[in-house]
Amino acid sequence: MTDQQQPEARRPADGPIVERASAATPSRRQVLKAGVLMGAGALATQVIAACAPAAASSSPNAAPSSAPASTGPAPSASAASGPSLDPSKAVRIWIQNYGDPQQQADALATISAAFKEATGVTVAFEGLDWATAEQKWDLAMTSGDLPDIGDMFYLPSRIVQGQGKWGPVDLTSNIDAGDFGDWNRIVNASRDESTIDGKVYGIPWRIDIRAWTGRSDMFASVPKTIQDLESMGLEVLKKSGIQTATTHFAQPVDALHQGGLAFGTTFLSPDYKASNLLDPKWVEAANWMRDLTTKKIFSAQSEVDQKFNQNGSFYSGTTGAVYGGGTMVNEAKGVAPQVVPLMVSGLQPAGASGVSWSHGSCAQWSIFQNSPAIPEATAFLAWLSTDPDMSHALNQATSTISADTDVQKLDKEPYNAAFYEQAKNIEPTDMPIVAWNEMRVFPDGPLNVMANRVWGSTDDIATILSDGHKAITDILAKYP
Amino acid sequence: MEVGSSLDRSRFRRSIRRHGWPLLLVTPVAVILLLFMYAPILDAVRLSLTDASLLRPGQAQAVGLDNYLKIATSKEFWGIAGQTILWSVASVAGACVLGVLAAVLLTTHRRGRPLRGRVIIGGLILAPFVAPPVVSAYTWIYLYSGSGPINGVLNALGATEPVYFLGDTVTKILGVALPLWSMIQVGVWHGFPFFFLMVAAALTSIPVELHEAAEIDGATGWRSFRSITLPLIAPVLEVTIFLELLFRLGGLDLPFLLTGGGPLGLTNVWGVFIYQVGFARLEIGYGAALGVVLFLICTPFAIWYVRRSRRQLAGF
Repeated sequence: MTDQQQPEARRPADGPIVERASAATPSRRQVLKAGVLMGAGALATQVIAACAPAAASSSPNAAPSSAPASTGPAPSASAASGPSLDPSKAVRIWIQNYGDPQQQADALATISAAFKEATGVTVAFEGLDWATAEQKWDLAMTSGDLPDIGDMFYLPSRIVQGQGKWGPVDLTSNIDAGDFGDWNRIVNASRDESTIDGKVYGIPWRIDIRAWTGRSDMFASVPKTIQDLESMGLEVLKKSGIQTATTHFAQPVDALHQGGLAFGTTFLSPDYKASNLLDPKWVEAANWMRDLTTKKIFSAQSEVDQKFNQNGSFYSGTTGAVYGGGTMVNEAKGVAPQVVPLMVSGLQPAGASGVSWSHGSCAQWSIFQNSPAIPEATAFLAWLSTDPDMSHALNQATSTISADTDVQKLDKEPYNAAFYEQAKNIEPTDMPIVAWNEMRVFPDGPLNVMANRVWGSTDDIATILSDGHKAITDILAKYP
Repeated sequence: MEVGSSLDRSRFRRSIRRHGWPLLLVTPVAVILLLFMYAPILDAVRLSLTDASLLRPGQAQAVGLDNYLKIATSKEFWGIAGQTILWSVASVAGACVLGVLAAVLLTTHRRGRPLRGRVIIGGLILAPFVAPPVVSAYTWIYLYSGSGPINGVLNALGATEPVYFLGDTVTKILGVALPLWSMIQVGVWHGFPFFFLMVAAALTSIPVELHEAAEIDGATGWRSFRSITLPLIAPVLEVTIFLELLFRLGGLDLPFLLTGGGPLGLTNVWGVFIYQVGFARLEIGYGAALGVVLFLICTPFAIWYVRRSRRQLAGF
């Protein structure tokens, strides 16, 4: 399903893609320099035109006097070789709100201004609240009333919803042409998540990697294996004020996924076409998860109670770690700064294979088919995604981490290092198939219900898995 | 013939003159209602007869009554009927008792004098009613949380384990899960000020002489309340109960915000379920059918309310 290899280093000195990419994708400095030259050229043309007879200045090839100085060179290969950019068009972008709203707004304003300066094209961002983002996207996808670019989740569903008319644009040829730089620099799982039926529909810009987040005053060190987790967890439970040794992060289905990966299994077959829940390893995994819940090493509340404050219990010290936590350090700096010095990150405890496995979900930038500004939108994404500094600034401002290994190298936050290390062995949190959306519906989709039953009921594990298998098989049959 | 037609015309003109102005005034409201109330309801009925999905926009196929047949045999929908009814009835009953009690205590005169500080107490009682449901819900989520103040008190009293009022899947009281009881409690808290407001208003309209006469006859306290106060506030109480029941049966806000139907569906109610089907599972056709069924379930209550109001108006 996902390569276990680390994504290749981006742009090796002699790679053919590198040559194409570096030739085709000028740096921002080059773009600005060319823009200044073009501006000077336009100014000179105007001066000459003013001295020339009237007929000469009305030539259709003459540079328009009001043209922005920097509209000349396109920032990417496709834009340079394809249609030129139209500065009268504005690129509208929907992005979900992350972290500090003011920081995000400032970063987006900087990005817009820099792109405007480089190309003359206006970029307008609109922030969407996560609480209503899904409905907003679903409703927009029913009518095609969409922006030019979107910060995507449930990408496969958007392709179906778009009906070939306003869904995400297939960017495969641009990627093959190197418009977005070396594709191999993107984390494997994120590439997988953005590729549906062999076609790439989005450029990953952030990734939510799940790894170990512990408190050094509770866990003496990061447990390397699931056996270590159990023995160290039992020790943590002896401390006062502790309710459970760990909690999980995000939805119950994510915790179930973690448990399966520790035992070397996952929800679907490698081709995503069949349920894998009858794999005997699932029985082992589910029994292990329930056993650790009974021993209070895992938290049942974290899975079954939608309002349980997973990160809050970590900050308040009623739990010692988040098993499969996200990159919480920026959040902690804001809401619980006293905990930051205690926070330790690490790889997920390994199962029998001895290799730590986890999962991660990415968000992609996608362009929509009915956009009136596809060349401009493509140029913008090419410009942003091939500028590691600008991309890093966006990740910093949104308290996210990048799916681009080049941008990851710019991150000096020591806490995040383990997450980048974990990214070498992750599989997609969200499977790149249309049926996935229905499988993981929150809170009552079959996978979340399965997880709830494993942690919150006394139902027979084999029955739970068999029910889950049937529900998943039925859903897969609906999406041939 | 000609005489007859000219008579008809003049009658028509007179009728226009008489009713034209009121009709003109009613038209904007009628148009707004038609566009924003009745047209969406009719569209929901149309949608309920299709397999519309937000995943396949514009490709809905007519499926006749399939969605209704699916509802008739849906274990999910009928499985949560009991929870919906218990949530509605228990929270309204609790709010009613508490609201009446508060109104009576606050309007009762002691030795011929009204209760001191009744304005401040009345204001405090109304606070949950004024607070938006989202504020009420998040306040109680905090109060009920494992590390919240209620658990803090329980801990101080010697409890070793926190009680997860909104997330406990094991504890049952009278066969009902603890999270549903907790949700009912929040419903009572949020609903009782409305009863208080209505009943307090009704109490002020009861002539003081009635109670004085009853007192002379030896009827005080409970007897006076049962024989004088209760019958006189009964019409207001009835209407308030049925209005609240209507809101709760089809309501979404508090259950959605408090538990979202969880844990394990133990607090799921029809309003939340319909939302989940339509906007989480994206089955908008089936969701519309569920909405229509809920509409039909609530309609008798609405009809009863309208009839009751008419009868009361006729009595004046």
